[in-house]
Amino acid sequence: MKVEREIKQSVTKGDILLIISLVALSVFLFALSFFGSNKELTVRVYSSSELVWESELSKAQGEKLFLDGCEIIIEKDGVYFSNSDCPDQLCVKRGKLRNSGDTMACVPKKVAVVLTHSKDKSKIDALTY
Amino acid sequence: MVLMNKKSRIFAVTAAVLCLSVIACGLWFYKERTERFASSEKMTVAMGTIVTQKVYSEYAGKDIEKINGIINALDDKISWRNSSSDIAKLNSEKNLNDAAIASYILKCNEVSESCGGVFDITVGEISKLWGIGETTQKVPEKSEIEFLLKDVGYENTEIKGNDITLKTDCSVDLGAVGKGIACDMAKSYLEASDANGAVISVGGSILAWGSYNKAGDPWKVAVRHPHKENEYIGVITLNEGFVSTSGDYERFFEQDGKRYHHILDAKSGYPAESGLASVSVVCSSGILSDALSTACFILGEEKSRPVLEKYGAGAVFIYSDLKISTVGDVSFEG
Repeated sequence: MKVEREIKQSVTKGDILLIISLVALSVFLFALSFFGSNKELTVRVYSSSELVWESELSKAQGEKLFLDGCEIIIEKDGVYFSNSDCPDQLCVKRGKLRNSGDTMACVPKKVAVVLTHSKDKSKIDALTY
Repeated sequence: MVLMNKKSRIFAVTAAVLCLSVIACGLWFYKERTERFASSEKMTVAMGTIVTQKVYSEYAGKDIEKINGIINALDDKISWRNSSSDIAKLNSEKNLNDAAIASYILKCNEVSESCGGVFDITVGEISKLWGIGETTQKVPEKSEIEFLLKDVGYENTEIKGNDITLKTDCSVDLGAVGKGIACDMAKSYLEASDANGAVISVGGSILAWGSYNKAGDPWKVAVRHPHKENEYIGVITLNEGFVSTSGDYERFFEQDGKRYHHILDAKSGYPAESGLASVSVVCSSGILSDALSTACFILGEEKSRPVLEKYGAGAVFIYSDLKISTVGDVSFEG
């Protein structure tokens, strides 16, 4: 009882605020380390089902890939087929991939490109179309 | 800064440590429950489209290869373009004995009957005539369509046991349901495997199976924006099941200022005109979700309601003006 009384007398509102602030800061830093999002996009290029090239988008901007008659260009905000010697040209018409989960392929050439978040933190599991 | 005496400092530190410990335990538990299982992902080109597989399993690489083999074998069996396929054989000889093909045709015919025949797998010759998405695409003469229409009709496929006979000069095209069948077969494989969960996309027909974490959080399947190729218009959330979409943007051409898409109304032989840009169907079978998405696109929302109800399916209808409507048991957020 004596200890409790002494604590009541000596712990002020300022002390409580200080403790709460410290706890809140610790929780914030702790949560950040657990759930910190990774917005970095990764480009993956497949040829005949095999992964043949992979890089983070930001580190590959300006790159041009030539693969099985396809030309793939990587820019700051996305990736696209700029050229292909396939008959239908659907891959070229597809335009630029910009978001995680976007995919496109040159079916005749069996070349595919997928854009995904580096650490699989994408909110989307699949795209129906 | 307020100074504390020794006892109050001990109290404060103990309280802070206790609080942090409780919160840390809670966060660890939450992370442990929600963190995704180990997985492997692979993209392949099969069935003339992109196949992406993400399998949450210790042996995901092996599972992916097995499923890949299953999909390729199915393509060899049902593609009418492959002259040695069972479907090509059925179309040329008008007869085939095959249990799997018979079951696919029966299931499709059941949907055809439910929707008054607007969806029909015997429309193959008319699809070839239009050639939409091919170099030969053109608007056919009305007389050409009428000539072929007389042979079209699901009732012209006679099935006795595993024996299939085509009673007219029609040809069977399982293209509208092939991707869904592939998803069904992937599910059968996964159920017998050690995998925890998987999401398989065969050209946009989706199988979401099992779980990707201990908490069993639902899968999120984005629905493509009908007017913007690289964007999605909303997200379907589901615990498990199949999602298929039929849209007028997938294959089309324009002639004399008019747009012709590839989803044909089997009753008229012309592209469906229901005012819809796309329909996404969620149900418990891949072949059904594929068949129903096509049928509902042709029928339009109101006529689709009883069909969807019959199969316990849900659907998201997106109109050409981007108005969105949901029917049945489907969780969609636009």
